[in-house]
Formats: sequence, C-alpha cells, structure tokens
Amino acid sequence: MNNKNEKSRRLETALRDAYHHPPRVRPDEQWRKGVMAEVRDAAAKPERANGPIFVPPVFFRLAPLLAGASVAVFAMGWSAMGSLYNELAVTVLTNLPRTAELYLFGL
Amino acid sequence: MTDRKDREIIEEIRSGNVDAFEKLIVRYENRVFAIVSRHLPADKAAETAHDVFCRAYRSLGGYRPEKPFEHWISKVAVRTCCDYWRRNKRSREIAFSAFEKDGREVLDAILSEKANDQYNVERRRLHARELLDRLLGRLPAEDRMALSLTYLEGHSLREAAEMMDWSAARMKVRSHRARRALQKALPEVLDETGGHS
Repeated sequence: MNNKNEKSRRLETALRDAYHHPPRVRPDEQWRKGVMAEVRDAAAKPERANGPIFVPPVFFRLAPLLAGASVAVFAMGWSAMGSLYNELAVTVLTNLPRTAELYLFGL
Repeated sequence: MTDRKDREIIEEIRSGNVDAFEKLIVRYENRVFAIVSRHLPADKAAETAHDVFCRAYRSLGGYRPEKPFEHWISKVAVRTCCDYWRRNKRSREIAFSAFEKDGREVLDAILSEKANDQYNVERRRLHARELLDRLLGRLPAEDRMALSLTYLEGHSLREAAEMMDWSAARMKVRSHRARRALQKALPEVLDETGGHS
C-alpha cells in the first residue's frame, strides 16, 4: 500500500514537472505576419467586430411597433372569441332540444 | 497599472494605427506562447496564440489601463485555451494501457529515478506529458482549466477565478472535483500498467 502511495506521489510529481516543461514552440516572423493580416482585416470592418452580430439595430427601432401590433391583434382576437362564445350561448339556450339532439347524435 | 510603453502603444492603436499592434505582439508573444503551450498540445500552440492576439485586438476597447496589460492578455490566453477544450470536448474514457504496446514501459520511464542525463529527462517529460494530457482529457473543459490553474500552476483560488472570470466558489468546486478525479485516476493508471519501476 505504502509502495503504491509512493509511486502515486512520484507519478504526480513527474506530471507536474512535465506540465511546467512543455515542448517549446516559438513564434516566428511568418506567424507574426499571419496575426497582423487578420488584425488588419478586422480593423477594416470595425462595425462588424464591435456591433451587435445577431440582431441588427433596425430591429430595436421596430420592436415597440411590433410589440404594439401584437397587443392589438391579441385584443382583437380576444374580443372576437368573446362574441363567438356569446353567440353560441344564445343559440344553445334558445333552442335547447335541438342543441341536445345535435350534441348526442351529431345530426 | 499599465506599463507606460504599453499605454502609449494602446493609445496609438486606438487612435487608428493598426500597425502598432505588432509592437504588442512582439512584447507579449513569449508570454502567450508559454501559457498556451502549457494548456494545449504543442501542435495547437501557434494556432491558438494567433487566436489569442486576434481576440485581444477585437476586445481592446474593453481593456482598462488600471491593471497591467500582461495580466489582461494572460486572461485572454487562458480563456481562449478553455474555449479550445470546450470545442474539442473531452476524449472518451480509454484506459492508459490501451494506448501503448507496453504501458508498463512508459510508466517505468516516467517513474525512473535514474534518468539524470538531458536525453532521459526529456524522454521522461515527454511520456509524462502524454499521460497528463490523457488524464486531463477525461475532464470537462472547465474542470481541466480549474485543475491546471490551481493545482498544476499553483494560483490561488481567487487568482484562478479572476483569470476565468468566475466566482471563487465556482473555482473551488471545479478544482476540488477535478483534483478528486485525478487522485482517483492515478492509482488506476498504476494498476492498469502494472506499476513496476
């Protein structure tokens, strides 16, 4: 058990040592040129880099209008549904036997 | 506080001189390569360091000179490494011995105390690095980064949390979980490979 713990400890030390001594990779002139090419490219289109990517600004201008329109459509739908229910209630109550017949036999 | 030279360069970039960014690259490329090489495989280091500087350029507007630029670029580098591991997911659970014809030989090389000459030290590090990559590859990206920053690099929880832009509590939970997973995995490696030295 002690032997295993000792090995485990040595292994841990070796892993930490390896972590602190990774294979050396050095930047060169070619690499620097590649980075600068992309940076210049990004600088040429700053709006795309900094502005909202998924939602264009025009959406924000139209948002209140769209929200108002949805509320209006919802209100119209609600009132139409209300009148439909009223009409149905009147039909059922004024001719109850016929309604029951329709409900039971589907004629 | 930002170094005066850095501040001048950043001002120059902000005023429209993109070419001045190359001066920042030259000043911090070694630092960025050192961070990236520790967190990623060697063949991904240059590509990721490239991404770090491009990301730094795009985020330069958000940089505040109250803190040194070196800290800021280091944070960008660490987060870019984490994004790399998020994109590349964790590797499937494969036993260490399944990779090698003779896992025991590899482990013996890692545990060997006789390796004193440079060649053997390098060889041992290479094997140990390979094993470390496999062990870390079993962890989710966030746990992997937490373990690397706190346990392997020795940063405090607060420093590591700041680097990842996390709360200290989140870093504590992540690093504790990752550490436990590593402690569980090490004896397994020894069992799978026979554990002789």
